[in-house]
Amino acid sequence: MAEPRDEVLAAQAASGDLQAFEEIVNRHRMSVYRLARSITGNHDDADDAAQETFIRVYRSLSSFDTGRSFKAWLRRITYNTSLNVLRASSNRKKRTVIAETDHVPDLSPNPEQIVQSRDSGCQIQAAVESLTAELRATFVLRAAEGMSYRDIARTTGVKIGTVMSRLSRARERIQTAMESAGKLPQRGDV
Amino acid sequence: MRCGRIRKRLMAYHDGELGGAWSRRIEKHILSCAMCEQALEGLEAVDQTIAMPVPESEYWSGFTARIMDRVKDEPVGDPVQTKAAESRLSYKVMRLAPAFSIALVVVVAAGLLMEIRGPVVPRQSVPTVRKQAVEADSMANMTRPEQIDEAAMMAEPEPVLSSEGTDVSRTYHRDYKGSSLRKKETFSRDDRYDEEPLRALMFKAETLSREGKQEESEKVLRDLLSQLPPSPIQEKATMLLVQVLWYQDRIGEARQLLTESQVAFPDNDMVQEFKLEAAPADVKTLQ
Repeated sequence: MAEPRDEVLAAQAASGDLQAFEEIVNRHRMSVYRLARSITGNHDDADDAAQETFIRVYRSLSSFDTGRSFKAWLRRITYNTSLNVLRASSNRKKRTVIAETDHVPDLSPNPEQIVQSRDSGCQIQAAVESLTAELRATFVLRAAEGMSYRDIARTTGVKIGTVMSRLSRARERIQTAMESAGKLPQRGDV
Repeated sequence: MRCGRIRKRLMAYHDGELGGAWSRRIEKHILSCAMCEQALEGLEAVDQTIAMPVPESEYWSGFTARIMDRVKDEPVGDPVQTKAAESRLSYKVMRLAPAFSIALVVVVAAGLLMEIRGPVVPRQSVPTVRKQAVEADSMANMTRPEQIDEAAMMAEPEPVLSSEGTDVSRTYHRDYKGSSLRKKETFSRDDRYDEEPLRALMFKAETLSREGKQEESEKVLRDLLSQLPPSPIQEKATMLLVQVLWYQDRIGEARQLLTESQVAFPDNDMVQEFKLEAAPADVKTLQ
């Protein structure tokens, strides 16, 4: 028997069917977590954001229009929630460090960290992680989730031109890191 | 074809977002250009790096349980306003109070200024402008008021042409020459083409569309687009075709073409800003 569509499950959950909601969570938790992780950059915040996303979904089910795509709706909530969690987490970290040291910290990696990263072959991963949340999320939505520019624009609330420029910048930085790590030939070497 | 034009669209090609004509051009070009081929391979390699770490399976069983535990006592679809949330809300409202006061003063001041300087023609979406233009035209064959023409000029992408005379072509010509793309684009020897007949076709398509003959306008536009190399006139014709499809209630096709255009012409602000806002039903009443 074919599995019920997300929109059908959402309608059932909206009428109080907890099993339907559980099915929604099980079906989408991985992709919600992946997107949250790509935005927040760490497991703890991604976990918070993913949990909070599903709670928000549950609370808003009655306002969901079943004629629209549930996935797109869910992605948009995930994106916004993850950005909120990231901001709250950054503010918390800043406040803690300021309280301890009484000055704003330089969060960029120091030379030792850079050398270490190079030595351990993590340069490319470091480049991905050094992207801003918006660049990283756009890149993940395209490269990992295979979303179209239009869907990414809808999810992130920006124009298609901005999606393209974010994608281009994200890829450029990763490509540069790959070239300096010797994983790709330098451009123009052909 | 020059590499610059290919490179500008290579990412969209790689992501499967380009229309058929550009895809074919790029495929053809890559066969004979090692540099562009390398650039494409670079994009493919970059996308391979994306591997978001995902936790082990134990995490997932706990994950669902935690959520279900939190929601089980909540009424569905009824956002719970906790005391903390309510106090945050009232704090936000209080914090915004001075901003509201300032905004109110600004609005009042602007109102007084308008009283002094006369009404300002607002920027409007193209369909709205068209509606006004057609209504104005239909009023006893009178010439449209000047302010509608100005509004139409502001509401790019398509210059609204009046049905009579030389003023129209001058307006269009000025607009076309003034395009930022015109300054950027130069055509190589292979790309040269005779613009005049194509401009005449464009004019014809615009006139037909204004007269409500959308199907005929579409035919002319498709014929025109099949003859055009990448150029500003191609971009304008494409945007007009988007409108013409929209007016025929072919919303899906219009949206698809608009998306493809936004991908194909990333530097064209006119295309990027273009919005299909008016309900097609409203537009149909104009015809």
